[in-house]
Amino acid sequence: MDDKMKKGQVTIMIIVAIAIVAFILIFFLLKTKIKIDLPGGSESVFDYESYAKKCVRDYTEEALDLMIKQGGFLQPKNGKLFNNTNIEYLCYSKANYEKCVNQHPLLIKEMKIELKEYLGPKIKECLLDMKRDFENRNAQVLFNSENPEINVDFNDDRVNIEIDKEITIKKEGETRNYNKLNVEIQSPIYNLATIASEIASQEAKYCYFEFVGFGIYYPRFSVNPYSVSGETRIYSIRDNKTNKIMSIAIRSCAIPPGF
Amino acid sequence: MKIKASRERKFEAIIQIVLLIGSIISFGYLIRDFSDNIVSAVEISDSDVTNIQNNVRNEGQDPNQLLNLDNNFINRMLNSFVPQAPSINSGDFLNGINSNTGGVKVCTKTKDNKICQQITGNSCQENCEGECLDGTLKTLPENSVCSLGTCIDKTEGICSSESPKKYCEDLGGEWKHQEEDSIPECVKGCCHLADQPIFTTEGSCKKQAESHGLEFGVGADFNGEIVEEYSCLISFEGEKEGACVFSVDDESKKGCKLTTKTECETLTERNDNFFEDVLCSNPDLGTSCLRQNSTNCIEGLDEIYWFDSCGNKENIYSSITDQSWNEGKILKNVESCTLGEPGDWLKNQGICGNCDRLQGSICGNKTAEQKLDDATQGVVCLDTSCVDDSGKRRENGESWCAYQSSIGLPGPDVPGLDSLRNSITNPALSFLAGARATDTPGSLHFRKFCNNGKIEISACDNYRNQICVEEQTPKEETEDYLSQASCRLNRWQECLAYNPGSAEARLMGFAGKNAGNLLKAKLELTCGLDPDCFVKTVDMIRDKEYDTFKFSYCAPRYPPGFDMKDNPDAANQLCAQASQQCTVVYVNMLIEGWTCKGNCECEKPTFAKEMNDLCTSLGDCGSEVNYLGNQPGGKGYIITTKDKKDLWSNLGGLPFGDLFGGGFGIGNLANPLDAEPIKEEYIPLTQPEILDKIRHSWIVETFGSLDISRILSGDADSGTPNVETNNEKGGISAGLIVGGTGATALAAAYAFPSSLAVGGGFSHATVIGSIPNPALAGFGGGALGAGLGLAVTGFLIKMLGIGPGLPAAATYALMGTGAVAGALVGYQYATAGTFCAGGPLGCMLAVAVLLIIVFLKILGIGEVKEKKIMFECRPWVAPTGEPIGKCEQCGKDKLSDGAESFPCNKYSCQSIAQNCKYILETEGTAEHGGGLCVTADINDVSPPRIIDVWKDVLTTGYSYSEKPYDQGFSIEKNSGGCMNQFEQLKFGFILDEYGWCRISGERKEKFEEMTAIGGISQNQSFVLSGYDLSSLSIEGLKSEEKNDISLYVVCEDAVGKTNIDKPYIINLCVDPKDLTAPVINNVNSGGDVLPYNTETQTVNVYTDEKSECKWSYNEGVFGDLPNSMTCNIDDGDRDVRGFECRSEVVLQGETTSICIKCKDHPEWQNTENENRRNENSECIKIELKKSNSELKIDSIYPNNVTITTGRNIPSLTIKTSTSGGLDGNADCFFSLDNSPNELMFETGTNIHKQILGTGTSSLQEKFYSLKLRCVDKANNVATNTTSFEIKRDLINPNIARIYENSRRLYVVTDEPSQCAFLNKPIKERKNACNFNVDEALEIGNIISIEDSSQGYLHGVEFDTKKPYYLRCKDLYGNEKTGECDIVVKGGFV
Repeated sequence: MDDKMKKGQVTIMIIVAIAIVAFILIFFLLKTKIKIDLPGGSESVFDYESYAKKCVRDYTEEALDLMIKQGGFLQPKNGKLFNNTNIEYLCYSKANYEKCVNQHPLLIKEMKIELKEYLGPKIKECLLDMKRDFENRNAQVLFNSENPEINVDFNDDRVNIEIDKEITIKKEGETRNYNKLNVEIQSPIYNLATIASEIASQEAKYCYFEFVGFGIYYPRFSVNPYSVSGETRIYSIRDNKTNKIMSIAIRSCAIPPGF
Repeated sequence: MKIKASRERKFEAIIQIVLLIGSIISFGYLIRDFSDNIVSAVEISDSDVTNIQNNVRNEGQDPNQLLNLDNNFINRMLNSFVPQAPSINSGDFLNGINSNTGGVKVCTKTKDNKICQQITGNSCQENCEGECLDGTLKTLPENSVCSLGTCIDKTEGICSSESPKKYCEDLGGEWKHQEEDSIPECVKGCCHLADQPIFTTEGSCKKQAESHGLEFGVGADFNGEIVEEYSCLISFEGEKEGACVFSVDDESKKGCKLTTKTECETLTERNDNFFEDVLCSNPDLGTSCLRQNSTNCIEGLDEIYWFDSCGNKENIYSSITDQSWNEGKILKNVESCTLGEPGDWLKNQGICGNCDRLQGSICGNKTAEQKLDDATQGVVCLDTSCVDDSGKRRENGESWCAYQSSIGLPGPDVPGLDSLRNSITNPALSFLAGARATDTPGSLHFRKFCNNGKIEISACDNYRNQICVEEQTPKEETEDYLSQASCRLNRWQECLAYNPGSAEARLMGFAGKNAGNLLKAKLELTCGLDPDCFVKTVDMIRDKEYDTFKFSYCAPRYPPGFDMKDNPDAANQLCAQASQQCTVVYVNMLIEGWTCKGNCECEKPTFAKEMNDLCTSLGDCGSEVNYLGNQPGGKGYIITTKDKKDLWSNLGGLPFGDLFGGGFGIGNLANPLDAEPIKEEYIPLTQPEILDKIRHSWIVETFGSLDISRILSGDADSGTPNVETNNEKGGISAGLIVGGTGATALAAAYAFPSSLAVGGGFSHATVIGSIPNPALAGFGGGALGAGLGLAVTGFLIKMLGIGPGLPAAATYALMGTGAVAGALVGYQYATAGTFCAGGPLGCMLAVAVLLIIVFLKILGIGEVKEKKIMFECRPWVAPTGEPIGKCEQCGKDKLSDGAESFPCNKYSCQSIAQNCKYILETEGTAEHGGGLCVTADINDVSPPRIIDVWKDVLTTGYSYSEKPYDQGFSIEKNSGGCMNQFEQLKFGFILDEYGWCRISGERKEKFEEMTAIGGISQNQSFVLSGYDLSSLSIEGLKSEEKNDISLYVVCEDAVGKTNIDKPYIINLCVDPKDLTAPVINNVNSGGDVLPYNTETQTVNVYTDEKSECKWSYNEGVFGDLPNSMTCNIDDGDRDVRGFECRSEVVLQGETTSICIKCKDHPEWQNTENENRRNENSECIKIELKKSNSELKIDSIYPNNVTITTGRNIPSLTIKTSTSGGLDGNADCFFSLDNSPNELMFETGTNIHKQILGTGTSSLQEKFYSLKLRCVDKANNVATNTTSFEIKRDLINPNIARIYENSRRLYVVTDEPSQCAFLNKPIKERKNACNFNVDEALEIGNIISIEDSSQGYLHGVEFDTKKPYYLRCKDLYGNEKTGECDIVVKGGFV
């Protein structure tokens, strides 16, 4: 081989080396780009908070949407079927021509209790999933109790969920302890439920709710009643800010159809 | 002779004795005959009274027992003024329901989970899961589980009315028996939160303050003195605003934000750059913001505002700009321009932006009619008022009533006019007479309201179970008025309850002839004052002596409608209340023959009319037009004779000869004017309490303080009728005719004239009443023979019953002759001792009288015939056989406010015709109860027929074939070709009736298998997509030839008739040959504005067919465009938008324009078909625009700071501001300690906030990292990272030094503190150091902070004679417990 050929071989080798290095770099770059951002994923094995928050948020938002549609309850026990939705009666009188009796005097409290009961097993299951997931990645997860203590609070334009459960996560000699977890979810359910409660009270007192005046005083909300067979009124309370609509059923001073 | 004379005298004496005895017996008979009636009446009265009193006292007794009292007198009397009802009768009916159903009970929990419901006692076992409590909800004791009261939720501060005790307390609520308004915790007031007023309770205010992280009493407060919602909403003044000046990158310019002082301090972390009440554009501030750059609305605020060049809000818009700018200072609303004045709130709409939604205007985009005088401004104070169909201006929120027909009684609704109407019998005033309810079948009441400039309508409940009431309040300084309307319960059932029940009617019956008047008076004082009722009096009395058919009845003023399809029985029962029988009496007179003598008016049209008026007033009964003014379709009433069950038609010659043929043909009884609503007609609001007073006190008001028992015992005030008094009067009257024959019946008739109506007593009364008082001519002068003759003649006339047919003269003649005959016979006997031997004249006369009487009897003179005319009130029946299209008029009627439409509802629809079917079309229209009313004739065997094509919807360039359309029609292209396969063709047709239609490319056996065209309608339209023919089962089209296709259309009408066996066929042709260039249906170029730093942008276009596309910065023919796009050309690549082509475009400057063109059939590229390809001749131009600047995060709080707190860590508000990008506004996310990004609670503008540590989440004493990521609508992204630390200060302050100088004691602390002292222990505490700083501060023993020391140096006047017990507290509340920091006594430490 002459020198020229040797130089040519070296050049080729260099080019091949550069190509290999470039390939490796591209491989890693692409790999970084396609990383899937999962809560509790490979890079966040200790991130209990992200994992739990996502669970709480998903379940709560799903529940809140249903509660808003169904008069404040996930499982209406005393409802009126309207447009394929079971809408809870907040005020009801079985007798005709009689003012209604408030069926949920502590509406918001009942809603909180139902939401709490709904979230309990869901969050418990979620945390167990997390435990299995973390442990599959060689972490050790310790719970102080089986069932998490959950507190639900409704506030202006938001819902606060507090999970009180002591959790210890250990991996490779590192230990992290968690105690309380707070999740804040934006929802107008408190505002809507307050109005629903007011409507029920007005209907119980006067068989009537002045929805036109209410809309003028509080332009954020619009209330529309719809009479079903002269017996039940379905009130739709729309939050114009979020476009969420809460429906409630009232049977007060009911008039049977015809005579 | 002596003996003979003695014998003759003895015989004479015997005869005289006999005559005397006979006379005594005769008179005794006559007297007994009358007095028996009196005695019997009194006896019956006493026993009845006793029974009734017992029954009244014994509540709950079966009212049927009352009905079973067997007393003809009373029954006859009752029947005279209480309409006979076959099944139900007002109050008794309701009482009967109660007693027959086991009374009312309260179920604590029903099986369907309702709590505390009133149910009938008999249904407890079936319906109640919990306990059944005795009584009603109102009568339950206070400690009952279902006792109703107010439930207080102390946590939320919410009070709920009508709440059951147990269910409130079980959930931890506080229950009180009082009304909500009387409970202090439930009284609402004005709650001022940081940025909004809320009208709520103090508890709720505290809760909301807490949830906003505000300290109650500082950032939020409650004013209980403001008790009106309106006052609260307008009373609010937020925290004062001003200019917050800060530095930006370029130090020569200052940035500025109009905000509050608190926020400014947070944003800038300084407290010296806030200028209260100063605008950012104020030149004194030296900012870069220029004044009055633009105008706009602000969400949540009513007014139009100026904005400066930095985007800051300025003052309210005024065309006088200097005045509005106010020398760069904030101008309050009240000091800004005035938009209008009472009567014209928009007077200055063109020049002023001080809108106020509570006075009918709000900031919004300008319209063609409403704009500012300055045409460059895009907003205006929009008028939120409305103008109704009658042209009247209605304020925003104003509501008013509208009616579909005349309502209430005819004519003006004037109090007292009802009674006047009832008393009018003069035909000339008949237009005023005849009170009746005029609401027509099918008509409803509506509430209309103005809602932000739009008139909306809401139907009151169906069947007029609700009525619309309205209150009109005069507007200030104008002649106009403001209306407020609402739909309230129609209390029509209460009207029925005003009518007397059986027991009450019996009591009134003892008032005898006055009973009818008493009833009427009672009804006028109860029913007549009830705004929902009126007293209907049917008065057929024209001859006061003989006619008896008159009664009063309380009827609904707004009669209810019925659902005849679902509940016909109830309608039948209610209408039957007006079914009544009138007994007309005919007498066979000596000369005239059979002659009507009593209740003759019942055979005249007035009877039918008056009875029909009552009938129609009870509800949808009788003969009446529907709300459209159309005639009824069935027999709303019929009139029959009771003895002959067939219809009586013996009234030929009367104005309506078919009267007794039933209500069907009586058009003139149904007043078409009733269907014409009167403009401005409305029912005023009334106070329900009045009704209660009326109902419970009518007796007291009518009879003073007497109760019913006193009335019955005759112990009432003078003038009050009672049984005894009335019978005494009867006795006197009867006494005048004692001696006349037939006095028995006469006495009864006078005592109880009402018995004439139906009891058969009339015949006697009429007959005897027609006889002159023979007693006056009968018994006198001591002539026993005459008297005996008179009595015998009268007795015979009565006994044989010829009296009623005799004229008075004939009766007098007969009785006179009888008397004369008796006198002669008596005289003969008295003088001659013989009856006839002395002179036969007397005997002859007696025989003649006897023969005449017998002869008259044989002729039938005096016979009485009763004709019982029964008016039977039946439910109204909708017209039959209405033409096609009549049902469809539903919703197009005229309303009282001039509107010509209303939401069609089921009740109105069903009243138009019997073949109308109501269809609730969509949920949207259902909101106000509106739907479709279609003709659904069950006799119609034809499916919907195409009667025309719908030209308006046909795609341009096409035409339909000509009529007839019996088989269908064809669609052709005007240019002569066919529809191409990338085209969309819209066509339609019109049916002869409402129906649903479906379409398919092949014949189907079932309607459901076809593709739906749309909803139920007469007008049907369909869009046919050339490229989607397979969805209609059209397959296998030839590629190079014209394809003729047929579309099969099947329609179904409201009764389910379809033409599935013979579909309509729509013919058209489809040309698969592609003659058109690709059409770009959709473009995606990354949004209207791109991020600031964008260098390249992907552009996607979507074509209707597979294409090859190119682009260039400049225009040119397709082949010259330099840049090719990557296109999807497989069939499977097509999505709903079409086939996608994409390319990266390198941007040139701020705005880049490109031209795109496409060419079809890419598969033919460079083949022999190349010249058959079609390409765009015109560019599709796309403009790519970048943002002007980068989005920036201007400030963050907290930013690398240590936040020191006390033992309890309060909530913390993260605040940040953005600028640049699209418009400075963005959505910001935060991440605390690398947690997932969360959208900040308040974001979307250029200020963003998030509260941390509220509710159940709390901050800890630690170091936090904070990441912010903001994204605007142009996808500009700005991020920033900072950190902050929270530290708790738990160390008490120390006194570093203490000294005296110039009679002042100075204390120096090692940190900023508050210091206080005591000179002696607080009362009842031994240790003088046992106090805290706050307690000493309250006393006033403050050791003042020296101005310049910032809390380190404190000084106070020093009295060396007194001890000083000193304590200090730092800013975080730390201080020693139970001991002093230092004690100074006698001037020494």
